[in-house]
Formats: sequence, C-alpha cells, structure tokens
Amino acid sequence: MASKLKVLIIEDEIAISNFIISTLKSNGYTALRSANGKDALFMIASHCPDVILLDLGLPDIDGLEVLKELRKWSSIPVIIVSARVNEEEKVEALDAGADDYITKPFGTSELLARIRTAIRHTSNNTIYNDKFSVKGLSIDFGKRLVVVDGKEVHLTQIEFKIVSLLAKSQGRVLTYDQIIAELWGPYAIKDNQILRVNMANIRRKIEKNPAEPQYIFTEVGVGYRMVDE
Amino acid sequence: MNKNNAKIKFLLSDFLKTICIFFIATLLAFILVRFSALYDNIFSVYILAVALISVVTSGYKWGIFSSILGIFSVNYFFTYPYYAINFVLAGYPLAFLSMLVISSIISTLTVKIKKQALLFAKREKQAEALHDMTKRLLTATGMDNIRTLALDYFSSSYDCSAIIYFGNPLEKQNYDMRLLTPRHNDILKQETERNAAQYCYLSSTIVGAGTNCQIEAKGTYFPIYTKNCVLGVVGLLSEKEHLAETLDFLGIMTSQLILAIERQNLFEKQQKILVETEKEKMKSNLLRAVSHDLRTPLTCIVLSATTLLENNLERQEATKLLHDIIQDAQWLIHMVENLLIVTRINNDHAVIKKQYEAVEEIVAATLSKIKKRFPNCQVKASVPEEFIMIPMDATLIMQVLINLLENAIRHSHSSDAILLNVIYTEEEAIFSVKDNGIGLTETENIFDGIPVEKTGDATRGIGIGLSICKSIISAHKGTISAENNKDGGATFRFTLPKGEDIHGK
Repeated sequence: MASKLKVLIIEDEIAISNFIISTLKSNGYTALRSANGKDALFMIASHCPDVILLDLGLPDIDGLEVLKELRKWSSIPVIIVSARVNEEEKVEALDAGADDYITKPFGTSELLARIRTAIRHTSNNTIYNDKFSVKGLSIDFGKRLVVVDGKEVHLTQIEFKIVSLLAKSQGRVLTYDQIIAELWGPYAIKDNQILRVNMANIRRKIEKNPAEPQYIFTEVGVGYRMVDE
Repeated sequence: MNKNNAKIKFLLSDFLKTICIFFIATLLAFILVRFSALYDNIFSVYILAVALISVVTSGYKWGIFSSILGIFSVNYFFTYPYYAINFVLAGYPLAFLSMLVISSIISTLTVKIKKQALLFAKREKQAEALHDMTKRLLTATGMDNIRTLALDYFSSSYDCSAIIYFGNPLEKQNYDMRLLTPRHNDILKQETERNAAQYCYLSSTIVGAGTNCQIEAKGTYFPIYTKNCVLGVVGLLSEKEHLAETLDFLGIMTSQLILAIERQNLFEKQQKILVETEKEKMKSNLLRAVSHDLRTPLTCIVLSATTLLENNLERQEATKLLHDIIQDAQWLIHMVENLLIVTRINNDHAVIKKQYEAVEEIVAATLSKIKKRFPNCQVKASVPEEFIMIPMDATLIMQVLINLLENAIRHSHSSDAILLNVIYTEEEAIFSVKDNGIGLTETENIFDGIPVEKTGDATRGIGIGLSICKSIISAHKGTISAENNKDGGATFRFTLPKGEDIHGK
C-alpha cells in the first residue's frame, strides 16, 4: 500500500501508548495519540484514522460513550483495549459496535494481528467471497459444504450458519448476542444455552480434540472467534 | 351449653361421692354400735366422714352439707328416741350445735389445706417448668431454637396459645407461634391483638387481658426488653382466666427468655469478632507472603534494567537480560491476578457469580492462555464426549486451572507432557492435572499456604496460588486434593458439583 495506514490510540496511560506507538511505527503504521475522550472525538473527525484503539477507562468521558458517539456517524473499526477484570464491559462495548477487543497485558504480535484483521474486514466489506479456508478447514458457502482435512463434514443447517457466520468475521470475536441475533433474528430470547449446545456439536464434528480446538476459539463470557491464519 | 353440662356433671359426681361416703359412715356407725354398744364413737365416725367428703369434693358446700346431714343422721339413728328426729331433749341442742360447729370447722380446715396443697403442687410444677426451661435455654443455640423452646414452654405450662415477635410486631413479620386451636391463629392476627403487641413493644409494659391497659385485647403481651432496647414481644392467649393470676410468674419466664436471648446475642457478637480476627490474620499472612514474593522479581527487574542502561552489553547478553525482565514481569502479572481474585472471594458482599459454562470451553480457554505464556510447554487435555454445562464462575475456575498448570510447569522439573483430564460422575465433574515430575514432599497441608519462612525463591508463589485454589473450589462447594503418583510425579484433583441438569428441562 502506498500510503501508511493511520492508527489512533485513545489511552490515558502514557507507558502503554508509548509502547503501542513504537510498535506500530516500527511495523509501518502512522500512529496518533489522544489521552482523553473529548480530544479523541475531534481527532477522529479531523484525521480520519483507519483503525482506532480505545481504552474504556478514560479520565474525562467513558470510553463506551466515545464509541457510541463515534458510531453515530462513522464505521471506522474500533478495537477495545481493556483491563482483564470485566467480561460484561467487553460484551457491552462489542454489542455497542466495537469490532474487537484485546486484553491487557497483550503482546506485540497479538496487537498487530488484531489491527490487520480489523482493517481487512473494512476493506473486504463489499467483496463477497464464496469460499473460505483456514488451516485444514474449508467452507464453500454456495454449496453449503464444509471440509476438514479433506473429509466432508455434515453440519445441520443451524450449525452451518454458525460456522459460516464466524468464518465471514474471521479473526473477530462475535458475542453470543450478536450470533443469536444473526441466526434467530433480533427479537430472539437472549439465552445462549442453545447456541452453546450447537457449538459443542460443531466442535465434535470439526475439531480433533474439543478441549484443544484449532478452528473456533471460545472467549469465555464473551463469545466465539474463528481462528485467523 | 357445654359449660353448663360440665357443671351439672361435676355437681352430680360430688353429690354421689358425698352420699356414698355418708352411707358408708352410717353403716360403720351401725356396726360399731352393734359390736361395742358404745355411742361415743359415732360422733368421730361422722367427723371423719365430713373430713373425707371435704377432701374429695370441691368447695365448702359439701362439707357443710354433710355436717348437717350427719347431725340429723345421729339424731335419727343413734340417740334416744331412736328412728325419730328430736333436738329438744335436755342437753341435746348444745350437744348437736357443738357437733355441727366442730364438723363445720374441720370441713373448712380440710378444704383450706387441700387448696394450699393444690397451690403448692402448682407452684412446684411452675418452678419445675421454670427450672427446666432455664436449663434448656442455657444450652440452646441460635435465636430460632430459643424462640421455639420458649414457645413450647409458655404454651405447655399455661395451656395457652403463644406467639413471640422479634422486632416491632407491626413492621417486621418476624414471629413464630404455638396454637392450641386453629381459631387462635385468627384471633392473634387481628388488628387489635397486633396493636396491643405493638403498644407493648413501644411502651415496654405488660399489656392486654388481665392487665391495667388495653382491655379490649384478648391476649396478654409481655415485652422482651433489655437495658437498652425492646427486642420483641411475647403474647399469650387463653380461653381460661387463670393467666391473670400468674402474671408475675410469666414475667419471670419472660426474663429467662430475655437472658437466653442476650446470651445468644453476645455469643453471636463474639463469633463475629472471632471470624474478623481470623480474617485479619489471614490478610496479614497473605500480605507478608505477597510482599516477600513480589520483592524478588521486582529486584531482578530493576537490576537487569539498570545493567542494560549503564553497561554496553553484547547483543546476546542484553537479550538474555531482557528475557529475564519479561519473565519476571509476567510472573508479577500472574501474581497480581491471583491477588485480585483473593479480593473477589474474600469480599463478604461479593457472592460468587455462577453461570452455566461448558467444561470443554473452559479447558480450551485455559490452555490457550497457558500456551501464550509458556509457548514451549506440553499440555495434553481431554474432556468426555458428553457435553455438559456446570455452574461456576468461569474466571475463577480458569484461575485454578492456570495455577495448577503453572505449578506443574514450573515446579515439577520435568519436560514430559502434563495431562489435564476431566471426567464426569453422577454428581460432579472431576478435573485433574497430572505431571511426571519430582512429586510433592507433602500432600496434606499444601493448600493452607506455606509459611513465609519456608518459601525459598524456588517455590515462591506456590503457597498463595494453592490456597487461592482451595478458596475458589470451596466457594464452589467442591473439593481439592493432591497426591503423588505411583509412577512418579504428582496429581492435583478438584471437583465441581454439577448442579441441576439443564438439559433435563
């Protein structure tokens, strides 16, 4: 790509943003920094970053508010940077339109992978791939065909829908509610029991060992994620 | 109607008794006269009869009645003229009058003695009940037990329905009762009764039937009060009117109840203090252990970083130091996570938030976390084919698994694969972490936290980690244990109860 991709870091802890900025710069990104939510909203409007890294604990306004404000007029990918403690917070942010999250403490490679995924999903938005493959798993959406290590796997309709939904958002976490809304409609009862039973069945069909999955990962208390590369 | 019937029955039986005894006495008198021809003894036979009648019948009337009957009988049968009534012969009026007076006095005295004996018996019964109640109350523990006991005693000693309120009778619905008849339930719950109870509670005076105030209430209410405050109200409801006579005694029983309640309160307070002290002790132990454990890696980080800054090291050397720093820092993060969990468990108000989680998802998520930190470690996991969900706090259980796995990785001194295994039994899921290392020197007390003096750097953090595991598992009502394998290495095992079957619905 000719022009460097721009990443805005909204984070009040200097040490963390220092680390992120130096990592990003050495990997060919342009990095911008904002230490509070109000400045951040101005900077988003004026600089139009390609990806935003958002810490939820900001000194002036709640990170969640920044996200909601932003989503009123823009679909720039947002990655939540969160402290480990609170699963509900992550789920809330994801359901409010965040694209992904990353938990402190995180490593360089993890951060870069998330940023790549987020950017890929925005640029690929319009292109509809009919085929998907990662490691030994390949899916043909048109033919409704799932193949693992060369062998065809028979999934029920719901199971296929779940797998293809995760595959289309490859690398991104989808919350239970997001999956349920996508599969059973927005007014379905928000009970993830059925979803998780389905997921257990899928795991038994496509994974070698359900305790050590290779394709679909569980983010405990949040949702599921299809492996990225 | 019933009452009248009973009264007539009572009268009839007394009458029959009187007649019977009188008849026997007369017969005896005839026999005496026949065999000894002495008329002097007849008088005493009748006096004996009068005394007996006074004992077996109730009240004075039968004694007096039999005295008069006796005089007529003596006059008729045994004095001249025989088989005729004649009181007017010389000397007769005085003799019969004195006989009447004597027998009347004896009858009165007997009745009095009888009454006193009854009273004594009653007092003794009360004293016994009181003694018994005091004894039982002394050994009773728990407010509910005390209340139940007191209710039983009040109800059985006075043959009445009893109710005990704790707190304000109108505001709190904290009461318990013993009913003689179901009808009393309605009476005790009436507005007037509850108002009387509340008045008693607020004014801390005895209120209700048989007392000076609130006559319209059918029950009698005693306040349970200590020096400072009124704790509650005892209410008694009886059909008979004997309650009024025994108010004093009821007061004594109430005071026994008060004593028991105060004792219980003190006991609870003391228990609370004990728990607090224990908690404080645990906290300070933990703090000591933690500060000791944190100091070493922090010192290492500072030293390594300083060396890097101040000396021009070779690249290889510098990389090694940086790796050390990363490792120590990661260890610190892990430690802090454990500490956060301790605060989450030890906080009284924070009840563990259990949700149904899929066991295999928890195992998988734990493994991916462990692999992120220890990319070279070998962990093999297996879960049963059956899919079940178990109620748990996922973060906490994952922390337990991470602690156990990390212990195995760091301290087993073996590079063989660690086995993480889950099996299900009827009631629980059993998780086990098995390594193939040097094994444990001790398997009994390792979950209680190792005293600081013993933790060298080689074992830092184990004690805290395992004691946290134990707290977490206990909070889930599971068990945790450790043992050495027969073929080397150690196995840590913990169980989680399955909870209700969610697929069964």
